[in-house]
Amino acid sequence: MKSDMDNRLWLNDYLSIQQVKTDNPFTVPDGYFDALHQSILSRAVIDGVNAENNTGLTVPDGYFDDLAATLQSRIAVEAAMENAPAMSVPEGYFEQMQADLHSRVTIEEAMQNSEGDLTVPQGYFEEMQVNLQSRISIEEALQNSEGDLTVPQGYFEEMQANLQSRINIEEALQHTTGDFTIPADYFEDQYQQISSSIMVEELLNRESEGFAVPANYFDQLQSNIISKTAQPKPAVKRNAVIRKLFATSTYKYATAACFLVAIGATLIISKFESPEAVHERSYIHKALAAVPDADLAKYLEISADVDAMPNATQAAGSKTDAADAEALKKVLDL
Amino acid sequence: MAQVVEDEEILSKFREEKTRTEAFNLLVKKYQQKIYWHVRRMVINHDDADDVTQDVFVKIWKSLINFRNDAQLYTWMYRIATNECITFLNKKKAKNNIPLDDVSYELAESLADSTYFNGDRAQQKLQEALLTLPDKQRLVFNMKYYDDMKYEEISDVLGTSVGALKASFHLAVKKIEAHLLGHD
Repeated sequence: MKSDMDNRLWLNDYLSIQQVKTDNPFTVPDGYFDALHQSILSRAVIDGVNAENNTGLTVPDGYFDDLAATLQSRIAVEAAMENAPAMSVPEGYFEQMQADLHSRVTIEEAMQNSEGDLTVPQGYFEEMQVNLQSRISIEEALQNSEGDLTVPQGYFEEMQANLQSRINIEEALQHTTGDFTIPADYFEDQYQQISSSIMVEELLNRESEGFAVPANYFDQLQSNIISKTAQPKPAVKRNAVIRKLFATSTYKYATAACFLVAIGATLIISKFESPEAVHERSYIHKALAAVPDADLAKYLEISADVDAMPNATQAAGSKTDAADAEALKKVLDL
Repeated sequence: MAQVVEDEEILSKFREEKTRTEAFNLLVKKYQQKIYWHVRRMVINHDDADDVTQDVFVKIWKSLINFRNDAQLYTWMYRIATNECITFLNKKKAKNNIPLDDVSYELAESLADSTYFNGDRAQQKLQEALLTLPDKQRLVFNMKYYDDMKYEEISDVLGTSVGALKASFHLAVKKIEAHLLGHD
């Protein structure tokens, strides 16, 4: 068994690898490791210096707490600026800019030059002392008279009630401010009404401009209308004709004829629809009527023999012939 | 010949502010070649190995103050070097946007063109065979073949169980042998 202490023994199993020299085939430049030593130390020192510098740097208190929010707002501002439309100036701005600047410069220069030209009314400074003196006197008089100010009798007694009523009125006004209502579609209708009024006004204006009436037409118009409508015509009396329909002879005859027709029709219909009439009109009656009586009698005789055979045989035989002959005769008589 | 300084002495000096630079100096002198060759066998190119080795020692400088004696110092340093090598190779793949096989090919080309490679034909073939292996198998083989490290030590470096390492090593050796025999 191979152990780590003898770990070179594994090569015995792999001859192809064993044949390779175990020497290090890689080389380095001459003096490399001496230089490497210095390089590493230099880099370590530089890194240490950088680390010390890093520790010396400070940030304001709470900087990192606010950093996330600051960055977020910065990102939002950047995004907003990117999405914002391009800045624009009014049309013709740059064409007018030179003229505007020139006029602005002119105004500024004029203002500067006119600073020395400020004027005061004539005799201002002469009257100034007197005016000031009178103003001072007024102010002093006002100050002195402050203790003499009076109020109406009972003013302060009523003051609280007045203030309370005033407050109530103000509150009521404030509360009712939002309660004003207008009918539904008020503004839509108002617009239409205004529009129609304007149109009517325009039409009236146009008619008055385009048409003309004779002179004093409207003065005479009223009198003409009154003269034509104020005199009523006399009423014409006409006698009304009253016709009594039931008293005429035509009506009487017509009524009697209608009764006769109705009765006659009833009798005809009742006779036509009676069972005898129906039987007379039936097909079997007509067919039998055409058959001779002798044939019918013979037929009935045969039929009676066949149908009555069992019963007749069982009955008392000598009376049978006589009974059948009577029945046959009755049938033939019919 | 300079006297070999014990790891414990280096660590003790490093913990002191006054002797920290001296301790690091001793550490670099003691381990720079081991780290370099470990890196060089992974990245092949000398300049790349130089950069990676310096990065490794800078990281050691930064992290040594936090080192506790949970592991041996040199296995801890090997772990840092191994991580730096893998990071470097991954960056190389990502930077050039090339698949793993092409990285191996590029490393083989670099090996052939390298001024600092004086191995014979068999050694070159062995290196070429190694470049066909996955990084982890290559690491295991290198530490076993060139550094004579025990599986337990390799396990500390790579954070892999001894059993898994043995399997990786076995696979690596089989592939290398097949490659060498195929080329012969």
